[in-house]
Amino acid sequence: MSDTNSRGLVEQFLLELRRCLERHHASLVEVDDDPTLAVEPRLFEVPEAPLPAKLLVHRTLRSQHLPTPEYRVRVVVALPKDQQVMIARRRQDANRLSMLGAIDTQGKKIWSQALIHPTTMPVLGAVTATALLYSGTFLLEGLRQTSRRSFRDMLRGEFHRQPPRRTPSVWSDSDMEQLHFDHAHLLGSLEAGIWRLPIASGKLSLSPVDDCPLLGGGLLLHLQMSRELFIIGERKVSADELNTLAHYLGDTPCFGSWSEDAKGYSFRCFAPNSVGTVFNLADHYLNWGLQWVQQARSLAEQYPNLTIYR
Amino acid sequence: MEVADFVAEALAGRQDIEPFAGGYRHSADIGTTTLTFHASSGADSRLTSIAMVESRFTPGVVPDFDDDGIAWLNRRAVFGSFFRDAHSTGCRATYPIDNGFLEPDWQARRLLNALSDQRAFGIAIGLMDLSLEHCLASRKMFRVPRHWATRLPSEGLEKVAHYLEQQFGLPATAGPASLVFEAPLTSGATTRIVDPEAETALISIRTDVQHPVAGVGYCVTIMPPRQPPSELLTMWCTKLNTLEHQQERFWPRLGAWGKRELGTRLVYGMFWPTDEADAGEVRMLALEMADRVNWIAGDLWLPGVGLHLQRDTA
Repeated sequence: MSDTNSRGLVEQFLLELRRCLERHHASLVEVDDDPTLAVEPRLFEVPEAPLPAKLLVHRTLRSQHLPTPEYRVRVVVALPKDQQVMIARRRQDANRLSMLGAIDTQGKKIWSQALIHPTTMPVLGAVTATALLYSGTFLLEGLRQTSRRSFRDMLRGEFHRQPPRRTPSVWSDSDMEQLHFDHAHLLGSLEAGIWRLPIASGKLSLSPVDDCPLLGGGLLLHLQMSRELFIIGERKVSADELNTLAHYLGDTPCFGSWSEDAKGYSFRCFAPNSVGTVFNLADHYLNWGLQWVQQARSLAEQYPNLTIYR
Repeated sequence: MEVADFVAEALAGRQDIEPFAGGYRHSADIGTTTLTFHASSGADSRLTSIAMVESRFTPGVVPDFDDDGIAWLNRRAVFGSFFRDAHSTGCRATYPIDNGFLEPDWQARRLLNALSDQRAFGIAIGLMDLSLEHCLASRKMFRVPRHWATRLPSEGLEKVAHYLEQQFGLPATAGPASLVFEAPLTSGATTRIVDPEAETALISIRTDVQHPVAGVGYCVTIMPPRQPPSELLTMWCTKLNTLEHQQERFWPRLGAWGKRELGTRLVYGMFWPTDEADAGEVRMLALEMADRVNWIAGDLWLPGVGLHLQRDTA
């Protein structure tokens, strides 16, 4: 692919993204739009986003000297200052609930990223729009609901009288059966609408859900990997490190977050119903999950000097 | 009675079927399906003829798929593999007719099933990739069984697994609805569980995977241990399907080599729609798949490299 083609690909992506944002009555505005520059990075904002949201498109460092440029798109959503202390205090919960992007190490922003590739254009446009608009508020609402749940459960039991609003997932049983058939060679299983795949060091699942905070129904990719997998030599890699690596260096789109719990490490990535109209979206999510299975540990091995983020 | 006689008896008096020398034709606005019998070369005395069921879709009925599109479509092939040529897009299944090996009326039923459903299933599968709306419409198009009328006995798959291990030394595992085993592509290869570098193909036969259009049945896959370079995947899908149909003494060619995982992986897939499970059929499918791997190993596989054209032309 030539340089011109690659630039065309960026424009195509931006067009797709603008289309997706329009469906949410939002727009993409280029900051410092100086046509004489015509170099990366290009910076955009979404004025209608509930939290300050920026989009950065840049040529990857590794392709700077190659004839075929490669472009990466990054979403950065700023979290409100008055919430940052709370997020830092509840870091484990926050990582677990941040399913449209990962929280930066200082708890100030939510990141997500992907390489621009012609085959992922519609899905990338839709998912990027979702991340720009909702990744911050989605996390905050999730934290609010979980704290309310535990508090009310403990003190008054009020939560049970006011359950979260449910919106059925647009991913039907038939959709999951189709996914099951197309991936029969992987030897996964389908039970009660949830597709599960055992992997060497954990499991991967795709499940329609109907009660995600703020966004309601959608499809959840959950990758669970053993704790031992991320002990490299003497060093235990943290979930924050994995998020940093995934954001800066991952070849696989990252619109979710790594977290750590008693069972080991999890990567969760949520596709809300609003992106359910994108054809084959579940296939892309599954594909990203399979790529993370292969890449997560090797990234941690390859870049061992990220201990500053621990 | 021979297979052709059973077919002739079943189709006698059907106004919608047009007989012609050596076969039958079923035409409609959406396309034409033919069932033809071809004489075998005579090299194998037990092989009496070769039957082919081929549907050609009327141009415009399905999208104008290129070779990549056909390879992707073939992940869901039922009753043969999709193909395209200068004339049209279609689907083709080939059956060896062997009067001494299988019951002739059973073989005839398989041909008649393909004659009846190949075209409609093929078009529905072709339209599914067009859009979400087409996909939903195709899934609702057929009233096919969605539940097994007769299930396999609990020990059915275990017996087949035991048979594969005892008779052929193929490591096999049976679950409640699946049989998984490995077949060697190089001499001495046993199992990837013990040796991750072992060049074995992973074969699965499952009864818990429904086809999006055709409902319940046997879902069979073969996954080679090495993938060709991504730019050659489509070429290999086309070539393997073409070569299979050219074989004379071979198992029925009801499946297809196709691309999966968003077009990044070559996998053989075969779906046999039925709601009556039978352990004997599973055993036959297992032998068929092991033989298919054996054919690849002998003609097209280079140890340490994978699929290789030189093996084909040598």
